[in-house]
Amino acid sequence: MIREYFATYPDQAILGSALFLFIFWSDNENNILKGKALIALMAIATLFVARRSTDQASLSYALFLITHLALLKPILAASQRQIELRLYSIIWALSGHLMIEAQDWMMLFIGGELFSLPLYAWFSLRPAPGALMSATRYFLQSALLSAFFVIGLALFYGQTHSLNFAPWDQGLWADLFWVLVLGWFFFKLAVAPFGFWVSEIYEILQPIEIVWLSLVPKYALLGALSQVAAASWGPESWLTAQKIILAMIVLTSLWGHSASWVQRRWAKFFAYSGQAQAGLVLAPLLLGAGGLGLSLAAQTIYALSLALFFTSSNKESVCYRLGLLSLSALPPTPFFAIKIAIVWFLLQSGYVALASFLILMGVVSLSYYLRLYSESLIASQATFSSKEA
Amino acid sequence: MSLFYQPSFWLPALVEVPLGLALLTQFLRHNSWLRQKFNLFGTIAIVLIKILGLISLKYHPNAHASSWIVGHCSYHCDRLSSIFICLSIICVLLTLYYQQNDNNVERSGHHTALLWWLMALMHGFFLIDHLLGLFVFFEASLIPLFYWISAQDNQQARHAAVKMFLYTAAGSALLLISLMLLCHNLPLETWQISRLSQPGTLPSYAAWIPVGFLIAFLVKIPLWPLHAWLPHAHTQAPASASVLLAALMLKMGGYGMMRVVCLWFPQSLIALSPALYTASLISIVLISLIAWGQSDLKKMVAYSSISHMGFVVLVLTMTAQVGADVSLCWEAATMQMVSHGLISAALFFCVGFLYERFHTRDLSVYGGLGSMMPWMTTYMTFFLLANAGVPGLSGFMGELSTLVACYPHIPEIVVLVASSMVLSAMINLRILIDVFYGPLTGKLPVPEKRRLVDCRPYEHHILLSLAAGVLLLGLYPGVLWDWLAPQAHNAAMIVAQHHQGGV
Repeated sequence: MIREYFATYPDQAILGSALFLFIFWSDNENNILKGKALIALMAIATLFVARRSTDQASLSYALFLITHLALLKPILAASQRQIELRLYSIIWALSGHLMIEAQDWMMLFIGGELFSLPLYAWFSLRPAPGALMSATRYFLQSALLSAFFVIGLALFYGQTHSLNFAPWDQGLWADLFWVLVLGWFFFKLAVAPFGFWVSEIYEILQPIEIVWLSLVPKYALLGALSQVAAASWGPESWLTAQKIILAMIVLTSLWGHSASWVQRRWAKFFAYSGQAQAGLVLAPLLLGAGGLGLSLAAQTIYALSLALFFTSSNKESVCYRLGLLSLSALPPTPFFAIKIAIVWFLLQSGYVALASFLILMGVVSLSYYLRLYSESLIASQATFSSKEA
Repeated sequence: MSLFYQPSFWLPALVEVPLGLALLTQFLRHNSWLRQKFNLFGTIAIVLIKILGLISLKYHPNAHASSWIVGHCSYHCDRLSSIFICLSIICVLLTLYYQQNDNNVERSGHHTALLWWLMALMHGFFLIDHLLGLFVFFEASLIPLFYWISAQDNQQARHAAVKMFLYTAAGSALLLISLMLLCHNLPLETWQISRLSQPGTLPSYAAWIPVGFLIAFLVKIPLWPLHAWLPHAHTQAPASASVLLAALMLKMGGYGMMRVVCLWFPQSLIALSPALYTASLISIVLISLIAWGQSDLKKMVAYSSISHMGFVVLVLTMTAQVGADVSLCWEAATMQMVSHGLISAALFFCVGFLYERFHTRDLSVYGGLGSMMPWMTTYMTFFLLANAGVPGLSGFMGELSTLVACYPHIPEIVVLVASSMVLSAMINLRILIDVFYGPLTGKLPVPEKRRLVDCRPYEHHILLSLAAGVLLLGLYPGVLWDWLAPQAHNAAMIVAQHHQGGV
């Protein structure tokens, strides 16, 4: 079985093995150097994989693993429960792989739920007030969406007698199926109005953990969504999915930007601004699996800008300003470049109104990021100035 | 040696040398000795490069070269952009000189780096030959000023900085939408401004697309009713930031309007001309009245600035009219902008020098400084008279040429505008009388010996340099007009072709 696995997924298998080694070696003080060397090796391997990836799944998984690894080290260092976290990391790596490489709905569902299980535990064990309650609420909401997903699968199975990804274009039931299934995706991707859990969860996390949460699971989910898009979106269901995604982009942008505008606490602020940016990330998927590369790039640059902002302790530092400028999508920062690429992509595909809408929403996002900068220089500990949750 | 005259050397250098200096001074922010050496080197290098550029342009009116850093990005310099580059170099270098000498100005590496950044971005805006690049530089040039203003230690300054950014960013968003919709059927490589300026090369566009371009530039100029950000930003900005804001940032709007709106969309400009004439008239008359009612010295100069930029919009709207003398309109607009750049820079420097001594800008507190500060009084009188449009100084040439260019087509508006110039004189004379003449009010802070120093050497140098420019353009306006003439003639031909083709 192991040999089969290596034969089917050689790149992922190598990366996965390195991950195991890393997780169990890096905690030992004497092996720190080995841990760092492994990170470097992983980075090289992932870049290699990303460069020669011919399919979207390999690219998603490579990005998923490299960011997971890169962020794991500081998260582990800050954590008081290193053993549990190491175990969770392995589960996340495996379930991420399951999601991205899934060829049928059941495997996708199992991967997604397997990914969520350690999250519940991790959130509930956070040493922050209200962590248990937040995690419980997240669990219940997630369970509700999972139930809808299963109902969707039942509809699909009833019609096609199979759970393999395949086009299903017939009528109202097919539309309902897509609503239920995409709802599950949007919940996990924290897209408004399904992203109500994010603000609560961000409140109990450390900045670096927020960066992890805003990046790693989304790689897996976007990778999985592209697989679904490639295999299951027939002519009619594609139209339904397009309409749903379009509605979500508009909703999440409007909701995220308006909610960010009124926030005074940094965790909630970044939760809602993340939801707003999700609109931009989802936009290339309007063109199906072909837009995934752009979505992944937008998500990566957003999270890296967030990381740059969070990891700089001095508000006058270049990193802090650069991170904020990039989050505001001001030229000539990388997030501006990717935003222009997305707008260009949308215009080329005839989404003129959506492209204009996203540009105008950019002004709203600029306004609250500038306010954040302005207020972070003078605000009290209770508001934006504090990066401690 | 001939290598240095090649556009491939001096043209990218105008943008990328300041960029390199910005990075260097940022890295060397803790080493003031080395930073000063780099500033000196940068100043000499930029001036030399510009002189080479001007010599080269004298013989070849259009220069085109690729960027050293981004290969597929190219720059284009003609006589119009070279004028604004000169203005930018003068203002930025004088500000740098001021920063290096003034004891009260924070001389950190950040501020010096911001100046070099600003110069690079300004030059990029005036020289870039790509529409998307134009947008990038248009938007990015706000960032150094935003940091500069928001770095003041009070909340109002931060609010002013945010307000400035948001106003202009909202305009920029419309600009981005318009330019992407205009050219989305063209490959990115063909978004060259110089190429699209030729009639018949623009793709078909919706009627509202020129409005997006126009609003973006009008916010930057700024024209009533899009001007609300400027007085607030000026009052909160330090003197050096105010200088750059008035002398350079506002010119970006005028330059954009000349380069893009006037040459690409003359028909749209005709359609919008009633609104633009009305807005210009209100900008000139109403804003002058508002300026008259101010008690804050800097706010008065700021409102007066908006009023003067109204002339630019008026004459640029005229360029599109059938039968208008486009060459004259271009020359008038350029003269008005350059003149305003020099005069407003000088006035904001003077206000800064006074503020540094007395820590107030309240006109009711000042009075009778003439006897204590004769040099400052002389300079201020000179620049205020230039601002009021006294013959022999550049302000007069700018306003006169504007009115002459507009009179044949809109005589009623010109008469109204000309009569409102009395208001401008009243404002400037009021500043002069309230600050320098009459008896001492006794409300000024106790004059210590240090504060009573009249102009310091570096203040003389700065104000004399600007005064020389104002006098030169006032007495020999042909220096600028002759230089611009081929370009203005070319613009007239393009507009005429638009009218003939009904594009």
